[in-house]
Amino acid sequence: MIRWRLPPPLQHEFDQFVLLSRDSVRSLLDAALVSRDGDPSQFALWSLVLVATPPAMYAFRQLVNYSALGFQKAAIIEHAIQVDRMFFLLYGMLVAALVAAATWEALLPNRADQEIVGSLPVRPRTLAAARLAATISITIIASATVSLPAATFLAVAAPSHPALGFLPVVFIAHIVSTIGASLFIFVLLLVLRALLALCFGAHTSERLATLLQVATIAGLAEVFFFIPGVIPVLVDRLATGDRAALSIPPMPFAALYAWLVGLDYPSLTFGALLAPLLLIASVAIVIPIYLCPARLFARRALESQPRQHFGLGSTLARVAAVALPSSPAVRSITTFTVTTLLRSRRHRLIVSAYLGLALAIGTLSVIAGGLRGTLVFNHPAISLLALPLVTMFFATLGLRAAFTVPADPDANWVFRLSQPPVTSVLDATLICLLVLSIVPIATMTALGALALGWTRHAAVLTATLDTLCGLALAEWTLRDCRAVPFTCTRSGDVESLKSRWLGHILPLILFAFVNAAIQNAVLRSGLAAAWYAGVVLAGWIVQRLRRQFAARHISLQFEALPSGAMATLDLSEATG
Amino acid sequence: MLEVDEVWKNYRGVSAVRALTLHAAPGSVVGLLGPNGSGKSTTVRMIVGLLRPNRGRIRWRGTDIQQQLIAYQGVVGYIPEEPRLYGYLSASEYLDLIGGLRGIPRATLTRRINRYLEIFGLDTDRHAPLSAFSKGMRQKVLIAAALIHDPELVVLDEPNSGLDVAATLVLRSLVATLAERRKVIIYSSHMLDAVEKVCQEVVIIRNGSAIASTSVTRLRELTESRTLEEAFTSVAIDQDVVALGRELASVASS
Repeated sequence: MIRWRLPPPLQHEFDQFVLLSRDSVRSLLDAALVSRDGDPSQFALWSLVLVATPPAMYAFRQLVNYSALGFQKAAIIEHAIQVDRMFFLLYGMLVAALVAAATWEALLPNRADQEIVGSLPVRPRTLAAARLAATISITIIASATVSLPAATFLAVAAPSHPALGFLPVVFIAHIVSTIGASLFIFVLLLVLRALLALCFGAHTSERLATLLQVATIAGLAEVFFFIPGVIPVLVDRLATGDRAALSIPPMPFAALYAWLVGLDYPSLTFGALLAPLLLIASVAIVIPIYLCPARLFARRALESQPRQHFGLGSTLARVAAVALPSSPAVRSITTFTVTTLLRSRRHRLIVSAYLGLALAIGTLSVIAGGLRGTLVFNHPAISLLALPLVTMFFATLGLRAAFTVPADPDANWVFRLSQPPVTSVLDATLICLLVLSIVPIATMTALGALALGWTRHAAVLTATLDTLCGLALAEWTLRDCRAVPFTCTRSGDVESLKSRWLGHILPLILFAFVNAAIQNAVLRSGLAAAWYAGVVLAGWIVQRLRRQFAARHISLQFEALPSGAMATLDLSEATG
Repeated sequence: MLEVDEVWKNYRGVSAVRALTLHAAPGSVVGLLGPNGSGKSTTVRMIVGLLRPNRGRIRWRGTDIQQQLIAYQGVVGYIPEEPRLYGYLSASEYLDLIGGLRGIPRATLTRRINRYLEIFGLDTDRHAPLSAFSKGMRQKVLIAAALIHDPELVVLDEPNSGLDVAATLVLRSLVATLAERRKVIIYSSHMLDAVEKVCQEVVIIRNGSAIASTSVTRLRELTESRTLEEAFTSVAIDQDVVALGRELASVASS
């Protein structure tokens, strides 16, 4: 076999590029891992299955629907399928954004990379190029995995009506358009990441990850709820040849898709040409933005002194921990928990994923209120009252989920040796939930209500009731808490996580939507509000007493019980 | 020959290293000594090309290393103070990556990796992730990574960190053998007895400046000390260490 080889120095650099690209894939997966003790390949596989399943199921459902449309006019079928195509494009783009958010920290070589590779005979640009190649490869794989099942189903459906297109063309058009759109949005985010790092430093650039994650999770959720209502409008604008609509990111790629399958809309060729041009331009921009400042990035990473910022959140938490009447153990655990959360990107990403869902569902309730015509802004309404409750529900659950992921199990010996009382641990966790979720959300509710024109009385009362409800919710989430936050190793029992998730749907409906309806009723009368507050407070006190009683008989956990482990009564005198 | 001439390194306007000079000839082992924060690691990082001096030059065989950085780094073997490794890689994968980046042919690399792992007793853990390794095991992997390309300049920053007694003795023998083979060796450590046993020359750094640069024997003579520890204490430490120890013991009981 003839092997093509470059001149020796270039060949050596190319070999380095290949080696570093492979390693970069592992670095990116490692950055995306929620828990440090997870298996990257398993994680990658499950993540791909998770993101590829919804569009595959949707496409399969549409396969059945298209066969039922066989006798409809071509224009109706064309419009219906364009809506579906737009859905797949949007979904693919959001998945690409999610990949960027999850791997944000490792999109550029970081300090650890520079420390390891910096003393080797490797040019910084080779390392940067390898990282860029790895990120783009991962996105193409993720995008292809998301697109392939849908492309297959849509292609299979094609022969059922001439308006659905020609089988192989539909398949190729779907793959090309969706991967192109995903890659375009991903490359734009890479440009943003590198530009922010270049202009404002790595720290500022990395902080954007949390915001991006909230936005992409909210977007992914909205794809199934809210966006289907908007897509037909976009398709209509595409069909009428509205060139201004091409400035919306998925539109040029929708035009490309339509052009490839042979649709005959006005100005379609222009939009279809615009898509590859945009993609090529974005790639042409990202390469120099990544490679030219590679040496500067390397120098900055190596020379920067790692510093921890005492942000407002951390300071407020410390003040709250000291101000609240609590024991030294409670104060220490509270400060440790808040500081760990605020400084750990992995844990912040877990909370941000929950906040993304909260944003999606909360917005949905407001939009639903608007569509029903029941939404008014200048006084309390169920849709508006549900918004902080939904956010509080997801933020509290997100924090509890983040607390179960260990930050550094090797450092647990501090807690293992000191063995703080279980009640102190639970009290500290409750304070953290109050400081990080309930009180800020209630405060924002009051401020938001005042901004919308509610009376001061209604705003303060709503915030007070929300705080009480949040307190009861936080107490409810502590019912199975046995560990200092961030210190217990995980069992990795995915099944139990799924079943737990399903078990949260009813509490969400009760806490957010039913509760909002009750609040809406009681806010009209001071007496009713007092009764409501009293009932919630009593509920919290009962739960707290139960928890304190139960805490006498349990010990702190530092190792997760394996799935199916037998629980014993621990009656042995030797362990007493 | 390695020549570090009047180098300065500033971080945010603060000088971590000031006008530091040291020379190391083939076959010599130069020890870098100094209290915490004195600038030893910054000096070492400049020598291996991780940091660029603000002023002054570092020359290798007469040429500024910044003018031939890639070629220079090709002949440097470096054991960093902090055992930074990709935790998700196994020992053999990590050495394979480092050897590959250094351009060592596959067959040679595989042979060397197997031999290093065997010598360090890591062959049974060759497929375990480095994140599961103890500090000493990681240090052994770093030593193997620093030597895998037969470097001409070996820079060791706290190489004994985490090593057991046997491994420490092996390391001492390794340094002596490398010196016999005319390698240039820079040995930065807090362990004064180790430095005394392996180094011919020492540079004592304090507040970023070299306050002494001479042979171990001459330093002992100049300070009228019996050991390097005594000599180091007399020139580099201006605190009453005994009184400080007593004070530390009293903090919690007062």
